Amino acid sequence: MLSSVAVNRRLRVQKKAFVQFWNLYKRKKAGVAGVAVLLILCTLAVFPNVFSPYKPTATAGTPMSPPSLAHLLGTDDVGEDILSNLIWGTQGSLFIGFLATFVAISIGALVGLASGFYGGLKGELMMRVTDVFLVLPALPLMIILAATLKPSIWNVALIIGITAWTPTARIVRSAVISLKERIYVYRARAVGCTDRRIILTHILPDVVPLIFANAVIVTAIAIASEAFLSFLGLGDMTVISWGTMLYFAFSMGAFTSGAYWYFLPPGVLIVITILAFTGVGYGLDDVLNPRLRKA
Amino acid sequence: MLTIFVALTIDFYLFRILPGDPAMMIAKDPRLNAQQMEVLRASFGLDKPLYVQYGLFLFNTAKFNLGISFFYRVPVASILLGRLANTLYLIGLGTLLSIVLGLALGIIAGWYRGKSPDSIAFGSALLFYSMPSFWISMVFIYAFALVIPIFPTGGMVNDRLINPPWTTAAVVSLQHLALPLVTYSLIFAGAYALVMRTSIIQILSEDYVITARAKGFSDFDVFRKHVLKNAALPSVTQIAMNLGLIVLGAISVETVFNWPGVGLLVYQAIYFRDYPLLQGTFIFFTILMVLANLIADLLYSFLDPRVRY
Repeated sequence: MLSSVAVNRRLRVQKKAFVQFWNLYKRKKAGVAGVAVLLILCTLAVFPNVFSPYKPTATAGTPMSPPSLAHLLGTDDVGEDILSNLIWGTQGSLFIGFLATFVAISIGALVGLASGFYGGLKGELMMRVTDVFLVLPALPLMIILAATLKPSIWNVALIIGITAWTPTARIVRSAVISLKERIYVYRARAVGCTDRRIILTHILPDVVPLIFANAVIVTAIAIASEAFLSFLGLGDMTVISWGTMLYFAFSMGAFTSGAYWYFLPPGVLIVITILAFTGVGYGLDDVLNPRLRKA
Repeated sequence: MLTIFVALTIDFYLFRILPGDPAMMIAKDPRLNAQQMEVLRASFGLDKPLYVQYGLFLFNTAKFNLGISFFYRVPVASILLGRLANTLYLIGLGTLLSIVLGLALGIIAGWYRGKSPDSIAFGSALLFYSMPSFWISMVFIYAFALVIPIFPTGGMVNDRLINPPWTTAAVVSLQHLALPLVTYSLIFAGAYALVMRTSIIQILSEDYVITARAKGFSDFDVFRKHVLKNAALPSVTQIAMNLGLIVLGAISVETVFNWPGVGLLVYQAIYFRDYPLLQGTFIFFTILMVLANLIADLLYSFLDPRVRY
């Protein structure tokens, strides 16, 4: 067991590392802005009932009424308040985005670690399988999978996850291939560490920042993918997300009937979210790639 | 080849694990008795063991026999063929335009890094890159067909014109093409511009560029002789990796603009739960992407003499 002194020391070291990281990170305005926007969005997603003026499923006003004081962003074709739907949709979109990212990152990291670490036939075989997945057209595959499976929020996240893991695998694999040649890995092997221990304690910690930076980009892609699947009518229509809102706006022809308040806001939020994730990714990249810092 | 094969295999097994009896889906009539269902099943080859079905499926696909659409009740291959030209017309022109536009934007942004042309080009590229493709299409229709009504809202021809003179027909067809084409190009120009900007910035910090400048070459000569060719290489790789986006663009733009191509067919196939048709479009897009990758590889070996296949 760790003594309380040791725990304290570890906390101090971690705090110092974090402060160091933040001092580097905060020099990029895009990264800081991204974090701020994401914090706001996450707050909306966690407490939608606090912020939304109406129940998202309640018929709150006259259908298709333009923005007014009672309904700041107007109402949709069944009289639901758009602003409330947007706020609840934040929850759906971010939830699917994070879940899909978790799936993608887990598969990608596992495959990347394993195929990078094990050479020989085993690694070669895994590499080939990854290569096949890399060239498989992800998008048509995603559509086919979504069309055949039941459209639940879990399935949508799973489908996005299993079509989005390949870039992570590639990044992790190339990092592991160089890391496993480091002296400390040889030393660990010399004192008799098992493969598992070497991967977990000597390689994984160095790869985690990379995985994390990649996860940020994957989340942006996942949120966009959810919107696209929903737009095609393959999303979970019982869950409010920006994608399903756009689906209904599209099927009602909001863009040809002039109901700008219906189709504009969800798209704007998707753009803001993706830009925020991109900004964070940019900031992280700057900290993690010292080569970029000076340029 | 392997890619196409794996895609076909996934395609085949995915549709076999579908819940429900395919014969039932075709018949759509619960009154048929068991014997009639048997006949129907046999006529579609569904009574044979799975591996025979798989072999037949590969064989038929090789012969471009993709089955019969549930909804249209005609062979999928003929529907695809009828729509092929429309899609290639739009995405061919669109891809070309987007590459030209994107590379130009990227070059400007990279060359003037940190100055105002960069912030404008980089900013707009990033913005277009972040927008969902189908949403831009909706916004553009709203803006340029409704608020400022200078373009039609969709479709490829004006149905109300009967046998117009060819000049009118040409003008109308260009009018219908313009907005989806611009939309499609902008969707991708953003991504290409970002890639090009990065590689230009990287090349500009190379020693040989600094040497060339030190030797007194003009900006234009430095750019033409030393930067452009070297920056083209990573861009081609990146563009090739992004080719999957073509499918995304085709589906989004064609669906929202009601452009009668293969992309719109995907939307319709999903809408009508027309699985053979969906399968057909899947195979079509897989082959399209493999071909596009091949072209990119060939282009790469053309640009970089060190790479030979």
